[in-house]
Amino acid sequence: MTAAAISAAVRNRTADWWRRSIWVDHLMLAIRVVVAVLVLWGLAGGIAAGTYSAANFASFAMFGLTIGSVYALIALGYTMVYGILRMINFAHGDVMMVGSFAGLFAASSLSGAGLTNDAPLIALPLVLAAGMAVGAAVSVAIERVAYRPFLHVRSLAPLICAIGLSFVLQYGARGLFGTRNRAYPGFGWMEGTVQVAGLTIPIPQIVAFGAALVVLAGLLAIVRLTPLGKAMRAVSEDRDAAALVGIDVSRTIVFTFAIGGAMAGVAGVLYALVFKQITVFMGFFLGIKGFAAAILGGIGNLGGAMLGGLVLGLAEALGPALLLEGYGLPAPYQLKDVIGYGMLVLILIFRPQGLLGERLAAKRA
Amino acid sequence: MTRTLACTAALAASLLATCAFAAETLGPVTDEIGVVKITKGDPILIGGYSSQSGGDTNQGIDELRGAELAILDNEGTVLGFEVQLLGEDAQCTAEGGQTAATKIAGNPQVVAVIGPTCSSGARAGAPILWNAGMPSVAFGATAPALTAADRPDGFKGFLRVVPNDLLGADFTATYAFENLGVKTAATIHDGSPYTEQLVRAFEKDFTELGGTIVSSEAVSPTDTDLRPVLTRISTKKPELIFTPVFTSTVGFLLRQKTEITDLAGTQVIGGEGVFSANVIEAAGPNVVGLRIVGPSTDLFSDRFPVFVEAFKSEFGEAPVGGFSAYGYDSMLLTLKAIETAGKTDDEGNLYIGRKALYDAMMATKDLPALTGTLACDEFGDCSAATYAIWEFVSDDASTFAPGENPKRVYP
Repeated sequence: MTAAAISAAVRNRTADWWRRSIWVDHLMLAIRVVVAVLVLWGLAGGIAAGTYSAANFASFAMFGLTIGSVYALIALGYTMVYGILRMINFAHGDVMMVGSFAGLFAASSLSGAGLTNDAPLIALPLVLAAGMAVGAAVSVAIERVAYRPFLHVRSLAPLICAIGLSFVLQYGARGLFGTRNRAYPGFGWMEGTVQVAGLTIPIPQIVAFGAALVVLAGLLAIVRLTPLGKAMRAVSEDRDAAALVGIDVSRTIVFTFAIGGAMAGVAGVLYALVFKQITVFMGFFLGIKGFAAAILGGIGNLGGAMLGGLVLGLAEALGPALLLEGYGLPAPYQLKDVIGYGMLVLILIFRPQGLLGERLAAKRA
Repeated sequence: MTRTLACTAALAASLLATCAFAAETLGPVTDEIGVVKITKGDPILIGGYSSQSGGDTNQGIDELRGAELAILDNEGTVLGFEVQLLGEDAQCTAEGGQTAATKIAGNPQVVAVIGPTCSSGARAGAPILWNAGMPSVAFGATAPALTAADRPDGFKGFLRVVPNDLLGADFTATYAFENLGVKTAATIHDGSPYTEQLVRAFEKDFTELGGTIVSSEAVSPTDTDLRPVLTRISTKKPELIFTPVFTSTVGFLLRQKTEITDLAGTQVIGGEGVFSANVIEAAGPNVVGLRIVGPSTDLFSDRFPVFVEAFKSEFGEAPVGGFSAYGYDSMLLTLKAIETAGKTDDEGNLYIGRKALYDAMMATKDLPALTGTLACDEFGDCSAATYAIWEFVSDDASTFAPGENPKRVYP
């Protein structure tokens, strides 16, 4: 093919697109171009500004992965419930908060026995177990109150019920535990830092990231390898057909909520391990972040929830330093959430099904 | 159609008329803004709005308790009428201030208002109250803009017994530059009017003294990860970080600062918002060495220890820092002004002219109060500024006691 033929083909394609496209397509293209230019300009400026060293960026990225894995754990709860019920469980963020408080009380009593300081490797799994157990219990209770009664009704009632329960949990916890910030006790050597390839990395970040990976792998194993997981996949595919082949749908839904709640409990404890302070109102923001991560990755898709969480965490950690620095904005970190949510909006515009989601068939949508 | 328009216009006009101040005569009193008539036997209502929920609950509750004690010290009455305080929750937000102020302003019998705790609440609330003819005396809102010469008309009715941040900023900058000997400083605010205006004032004063502000940063109050901001600051290697942000942010900041090697020698000075035991739990072991600038109760009037005892016997616990004293003083100023402005008729009813009450408040001079001697300037700043620098010396939250932990290090 000659150069002339290639350019003719390109011209044809362009003309063809131009003929078939409508103004919406042009607008979308314009938005894409503007976003791309803004991002590239910011990136170039950010790198040229040279405020941060490579080591700084590496430590931001490490932190982004840590908080991203917490988002991913929360996102899994949203995405599992959505996969099975096609409903968002808006109380999920507060399940995480309750799990975190359960972990706090477990950690405080273990700390009284001196266990958290002397043997953090024994104490942490116990604290995680407390968070998981309470998270799962609360989540199952939410299913019982807000979802079970509406299982065969097509309405938004469960959604509204879940929002109500979210307030019940928040203000119930406020009444029980007070509004002040509570701090986890110290976890002995887990409080320190390690030197890896010239980087100083806080151990809690490594522990949290590692624990999150282990839990995620466990979850995947359950979904892929056990009969329960098979039942969950079947129910999410087609609830009626699953019932016809003898799957106990209600029981499967309860298990889904329990697993999602346990994940949220783990997320709450790991969050506290990294940040130390928890409050009764933290569920709201972290819930929104987890929800955003689930949408980002493609809601209903487990792998997508994990990917979405990590991408959101990385974008928040690196975005201000990489992008906003380039525009010479004063105090770029105030705009951290703008980057995270801005990315979410762009994903919804350009890839509504999310990073890994598939387009829903008309029947499932 | 024309008729509908005419009706709408008439309605709008009548609404406008009720909003604008019109001279009113009631009983023996004529007043430009309006007159409150309190029938014999009824209480005088004073509104109060402070943070009753959220992270600053301790401060807000103490402020209203202080005000209650001021009423009790006056035998619960003024001019023979019982005084009743109507407390509302302003949280520490603009929305909270707006809701609380709207609720108070909806009661036309309220003669004056004390509060709020936070500048953001005052920003939204004070104009609402003043539009209803109610002056407000803040016990916690310290942002300079609230009493600046170019403030909007809605803030004309805003007074405060707590020192303007300009004074605190000047005090802190002088302490940092002259006593600590630091020449470079960084600042962090959280976007609230209080913290932002305070750091701006600090930056101006510090620069005027000859210091350099190397980095001027901001976070948001819900931020939990301050490492990037701290890393950014650490590239400039300041000797001091001045950050008058609130408890949770200070907790995250102190805990995460230890992870940034370049900030090892950097000192931190916080604001009075963290003058409580909560910051010790929030920051854990890293709280030791934290300095804060705050009101000094030692420099309050010599009646303060008596007040603390009365507080303990009334409420069963010791007051937190000096917050309750500002609450006391705001009520004291209001009661004194009511004494001056109130007029009774032959039947024993009480009439309070709103403008007269406001004028009496603004005319406060040499009033011996708990925090010192109060005198109002033309912009509504009435405080007796008494600052000190405090340093936390232990990470055990149960040791919190102003004077011991934190310890007063200056003056």
